[in-house]
Amino acid sequence: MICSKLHKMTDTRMQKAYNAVEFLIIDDDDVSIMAIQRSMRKLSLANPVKVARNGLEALEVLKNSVGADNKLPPFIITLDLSMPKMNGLEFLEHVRNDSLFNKLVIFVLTTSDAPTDIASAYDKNIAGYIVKENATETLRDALEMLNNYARLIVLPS
Amino acid sequence: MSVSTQRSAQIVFRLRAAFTAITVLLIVGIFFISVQLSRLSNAHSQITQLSVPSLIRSQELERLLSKTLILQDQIRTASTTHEIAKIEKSIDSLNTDVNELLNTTLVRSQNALLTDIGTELEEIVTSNALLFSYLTVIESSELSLLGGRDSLLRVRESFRALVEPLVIDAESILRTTLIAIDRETVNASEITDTIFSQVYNQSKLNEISFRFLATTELAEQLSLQNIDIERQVDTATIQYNIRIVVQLLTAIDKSEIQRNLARLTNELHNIIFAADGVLAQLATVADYKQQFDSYQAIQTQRISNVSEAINYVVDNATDEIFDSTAAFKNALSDAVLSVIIAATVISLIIALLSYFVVERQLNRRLSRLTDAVLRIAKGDMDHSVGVSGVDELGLMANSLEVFRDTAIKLRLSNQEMEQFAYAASHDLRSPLRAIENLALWTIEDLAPELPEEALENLNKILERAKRLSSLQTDLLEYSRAGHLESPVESVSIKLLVEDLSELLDERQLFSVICDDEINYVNTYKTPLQQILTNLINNAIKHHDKAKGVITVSVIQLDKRIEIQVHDNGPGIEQEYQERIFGLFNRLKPPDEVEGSGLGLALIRKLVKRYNGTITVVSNPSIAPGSTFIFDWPVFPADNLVLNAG
Repeated sequence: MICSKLHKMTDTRMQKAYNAVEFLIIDDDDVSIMAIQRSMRKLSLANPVKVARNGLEALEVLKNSVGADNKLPPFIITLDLSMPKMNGLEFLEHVRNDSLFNKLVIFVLTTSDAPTDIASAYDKNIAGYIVKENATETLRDALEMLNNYARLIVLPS
Repeated sequence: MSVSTQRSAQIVFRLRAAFTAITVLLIVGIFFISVQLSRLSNAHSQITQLSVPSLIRSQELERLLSKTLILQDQIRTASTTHEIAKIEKSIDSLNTDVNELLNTTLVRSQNALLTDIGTELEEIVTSNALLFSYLTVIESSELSLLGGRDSLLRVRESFRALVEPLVIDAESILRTTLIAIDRETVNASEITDTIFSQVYNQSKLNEISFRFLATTELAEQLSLQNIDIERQVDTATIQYNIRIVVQLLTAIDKSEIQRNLARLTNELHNIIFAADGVLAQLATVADYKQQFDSYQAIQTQRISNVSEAINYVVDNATDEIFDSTAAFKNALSDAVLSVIIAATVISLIIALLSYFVVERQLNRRLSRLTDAVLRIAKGDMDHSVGVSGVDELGLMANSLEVFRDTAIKLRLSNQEMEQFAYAASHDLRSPLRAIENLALWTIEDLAPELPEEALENLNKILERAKRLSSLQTDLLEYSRAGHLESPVESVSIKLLVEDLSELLDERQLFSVICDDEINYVNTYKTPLQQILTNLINNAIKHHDKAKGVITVSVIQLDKRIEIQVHDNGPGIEQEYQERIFGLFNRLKPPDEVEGSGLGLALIRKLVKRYNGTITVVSNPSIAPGSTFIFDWPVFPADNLVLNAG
């Protein structure tokens, strides 16, 4: 069904789809969020960006975004793992058990390179795992990748 | 911990006891077997020294006995001269045999019965001689009787020869006379005297003849039959006859004929009645035969006695042979059986001892202890040792448990340290990054609007933040160094150095040469990489010329390798050569040469961790350059991989 959708889409509709993709940044460190936002500006990404400081907030944001037709708009989510109240893995657990949210495309973007974290995250069907290093190039490359991803990939509705 | 400070020697004691027991058992077994063998030997000597000679002796006696019986038979039935001659030989032979027996076998025996047998045999032999002498006498008498019969025959013939003409004469005279009478040639009355005298003579002659011949016939018969009563009767008859004949002869006119007849009659008388005459001979034969018979009877009895005795001896000997053979067989089967039983029992006991003492007490526990030691050496602390007891193995096992506990605690403490290091690094990283970013962004966003001093300060903040970050990384690396488990891998130092050269000297301002005699080594790769990285990096950082040469050389030293890193930089003064390995020590201030001062400290920590030493050789007053020398362990290709944890 996705394939047929892909064929049916025209460029404009694709543009629309691309423009409609919202970014949700889930991270408790405001400097981290600032870094991401700066990078997005530098890359001239025009997508709407929402921010959540922890898993609970993120769930709230998602719930509030549900439309009248009981469907979620397309999201690309970056998720930090270490957060208070509800951390990244717990958030993933919740999301994957929810019928409405379980198809969400989530990229883990965290400082941890521990193999256990990586394995646990992938266990929850994340789209990818990116390790935040000190250099800003990583962030720029990551966002470029996300941008291309958003443009090319058809997200579930 | 264990209460007893004195080492328990239970196992040693038990082993000694077990082996002593086994030795004792074996000695007992050998003793037992010796007893059986000596019994066997006794039975055997019994056979060879007693029973067998006894049997041989009895067989000799039997042979002798049969010879005696045969001889006895021969004596009894002997009649011809030839047979008597044979008997003489047999008697001599038996005599010899008996003497031999008496002088050899029987002399040596202490047996009363055998002595009696010997005595009896002697008497038998003596009697045989006697019997033989009787036989010879009887034989000669019989020969004489034969002669006598011939004489009688001759005398009869002579008589007949003598008488018949007379009878014929008398008959012819009578006939002539009668004829004459008949013819009346002669006077009857004249002749009557003649005839009467002729007839008278004739009748006398007839009677003589009759009596004579009767006597000879009787005598002949007598000599043939020799029955006692008949002999007496016939002797009387003969005597009567001869008397009559003599009487008659005296009545006859003396003439030559009468003299001849008298002579013959005398001869006849002599033949019959002489001292060596027929009658005498007959009496001798009868007498001697009687004696012979009675002796023969005694001899028969003797022989029967001896025979009984000898049979008894033979039976005894045979019984004894059977008994001693049976005894030997019994002894043999006893010996075999008892050897088998002894061997089985001893083997069983040894097996039981071996099982209970060695196998259960020692082998199993020892192998379990060995397994536990190997397990723990490999790093598996999770299982308990599994051996208990108050003996040497038990003490070892207890100590091993203590080691294991310590190792577990060590592992836990290492893990805690790891967690601490990780947490520290992680928690330090974010704020550091934030500081860096914020400084950077401020500079990026507001550079043109900021006063120069503020800009400089912000740059300094950025710089220091970066330094702090790198220090934090180095510190983390230093604290982790040597604690992580590093596997043994196959490493080519040449390739490693080439990779490092590319990484650390991007613009290839330096030439990094690797002079490696050995190709590949099996060693702990990661720490070696850390050391070489730091050394090469140091060489590059501290170099005072634009282009430099760094040489890495490797040589083999038995179970280790020696690596030398030489650079042609400025060198290091002697007074600083020890200090530079200390924590946070720098030769140059950080503005001149970047670095946390932890590089050489890290290297020394790693080298020490793997039981090596690192030294620096440098004398800048003589020549520039420094050489860092350290040694590193290597393993053969198929070594057991023991983790360095």
